[in-house]
Parts: sequence; C-alpha cells; structure tokens
Amino acid sequence: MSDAVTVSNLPPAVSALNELGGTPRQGIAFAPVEKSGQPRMGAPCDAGVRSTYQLRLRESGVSSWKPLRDLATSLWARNPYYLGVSVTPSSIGKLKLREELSSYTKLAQNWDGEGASPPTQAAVDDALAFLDNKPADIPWPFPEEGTDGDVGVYWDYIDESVFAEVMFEGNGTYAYFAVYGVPSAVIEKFSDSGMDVNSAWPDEMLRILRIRTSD
Amino acid sequence: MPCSCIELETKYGQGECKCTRYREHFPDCECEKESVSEHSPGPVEDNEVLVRTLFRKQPIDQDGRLKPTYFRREPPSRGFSVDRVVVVGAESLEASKRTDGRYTGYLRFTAARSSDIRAAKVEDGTRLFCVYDSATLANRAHADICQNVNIPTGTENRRQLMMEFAWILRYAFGTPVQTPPTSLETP
Repeated sequence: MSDAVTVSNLPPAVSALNELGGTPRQGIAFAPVEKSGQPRMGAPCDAGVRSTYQLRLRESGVSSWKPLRDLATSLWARNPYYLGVSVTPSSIGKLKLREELSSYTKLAQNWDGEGASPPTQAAVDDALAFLDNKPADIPWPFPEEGTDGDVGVYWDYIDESVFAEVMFEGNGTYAYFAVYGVPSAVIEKFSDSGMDVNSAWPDEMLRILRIRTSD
Repeated sequence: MPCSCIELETKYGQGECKCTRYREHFPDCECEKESVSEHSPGPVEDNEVLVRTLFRKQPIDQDGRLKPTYFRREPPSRGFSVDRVVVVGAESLEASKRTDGRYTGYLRFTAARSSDIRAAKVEDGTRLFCVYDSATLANRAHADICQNVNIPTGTENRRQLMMEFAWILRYAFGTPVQTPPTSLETP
C-alpha cells in the first residue's frame, strides 16, 4: 500500500477543515507531527513548501497521541495546519479505502507474478464514485485489486452468511453479486451489471447488506 | 482432438487454456474418472485435502481471508493449482515450497476438501468445478481445479457469474495458515 496521500485526495471532512489551531471536538483528531517527533502544537506557516509529516491521531479527551495503524502517511501539505481537525471514524474508513484503491494503479505489470495487469485509474475512479453514494448505515467494504485492470470492493460477514461484491472495469458501470446464505444453502441472492456508478445503490444489494445490521 | 485425458494434459497441461480444453473435449468432469497424468498416484479422492500455497501476502485481506478476486482468474483458464497433502505429507509439502522459485520468505497455506469443491453446482445441476490429478514429474501431488462451466466473453451476466463462482470456491477454502492443513472441518 502506498503511504503517500495528497491534500487533494483527502476526504472533504479533512481537507475542508484545514484550520489553524482548532480544538478537537468529536471523534478522532488528526495532528501533523514530524516523523519520529512529537505533536507540533504550533504548526509552521510554510504555505507552498513541501513538508513531510506523519499523521497521528488521538481521541477527543485523551491526551496521548498514537499512530493509527496503516495510516502512517506522508502529507503533501501546502498549508499543514491539520491540528484540531475533527474527523469521524467513518471518514477514516473512507480515507483508508480511497488510499488503498488508489494505490492499486501503481502496481506493476505482472504484479501477481501470473501476468496480471494493474488496475486502471478509470476503474478506481468508478469505484470511488460508487462509494460516494454509500448509505450511512452500510459499513465500508474491503478493497480488492483485479487482475485485468479492474478493481472491486466487497463485504464478507461470514458468521452471518452475508457476502456482497462489486466489480468496476472503468467504463462507468459496475456489476454486483450479493448473497445471503452459503453455497450449499443459498437463502437469497441478487446480481446485476451495467449499473451506473453514479446512481443510487440497488435496493436488493442493500437488503442483503442490511440483513447483518438488522439482526 | 485428444484421444485421452492423459494426452490432453500432456498437450495442454502447462498452457493458459487447459481448462477450456477439458471443457471442450471431456465435459462434465469426465477426466476425473481416470488419471490425467502418468506421474499421478491416482485420481483425486473425494475425502482428500487440497492445499493451495501462497507466496505473497497481497491476496489476503484485513480479516486474514483471501480476497474474492484471488479465485476468479485461474479456474476457467489454466486451472487453480493445488497440492494433494495425502500424497506428499504436510512437512514435505511445506519443505518443497520453501525451495520453490517463488518463495521469498512468505508462505501460507489454505485448504479445501475435494468433495466440497466437487459438490458445487450451478442451478441446472451442472458441476461447477472438476478436480484433476495433474501431477508433474517434479510434483506428483499436483492437482488442478478447473471450472466446468463455460462463460464466454460477451455473455450478458458474465461478471456476475464470475463473482458467484469465485464466492463458491472461496467459501470452500479456509483462512490461510502457516502450515499445510491435513484435515478440515466441514465448512
């Protein structure tokens, strides 16, 4: 996974709240710190200068800072005043997912040793557009890299026998498969293809995914 | 046209289209009834544990399970390679993988029971996967899982079916572990 994140691909919850010296109000707060350093309570005003920071997080009301696993991140900050920016865990889930999906385009040809092509930027863009329409009650899915330029996302709640997968090939559409049950005893399953990535998610897929949350 | 399963395996065993050829010439898993390789100790039995070796971490997700895409590419084409642990033994299998050219320090194993893979069927009752004893001179425990159902490019619901078939195969294989499993619980 790439450890590079740019301001432009941070989620709006972060990039729009590029404030100086705000106080964390809820959830989890980002703070820019120098690598291996301590949190910088007064971030330097070096707009336009490339600076490398590591994002660290703290929960509101907790004084200690700790790195969030898998989010040790270099930040290309034009104005690195992230101290006090409040983001929700949901935003972090989206950030991590976005970062992971975007990293797939950097895979080399034959990245799996079996002749795979790296996912295309168009496929990643389609996945991100699709995810922009995620209903709030649906958890963020896992990302996955395809072997033919495609990408996918999926939910796998094996204990609840709920599974759904969505594939993107970069043509502005997606295909999905959602199932409740196990292969030897499928209770309900739905699938479709050619769906517009900018449209609302199909009710049938949501119904499967909500089986888990309605238990 | 190949006259026998052994002839087919000899001719296409190392190619990208092996499973396609099996579907064309010996449909409905016809070649499971006999050995497809002269190096094999015999056809794969239903109670055998089939072990898939992972040399890379990338296909494993945050829950420690294999990503669905991992099961999508090989079964319809070149075959999904596995090893028959009963033929070679777990320790020997693991040792052989440590000398494999693909080994770079990472090694995990995931396993499925042959009968679970053979039990998978599509809605009209057609077997979804076949298990062939495609042993090689260097690896007499080698076997292949081949998709028995053809989904030609351009088929309207091709992508959906690919996801469904991968889900079925993924369900049969367990969470990757550090040593080759020799027995399995019913999934």
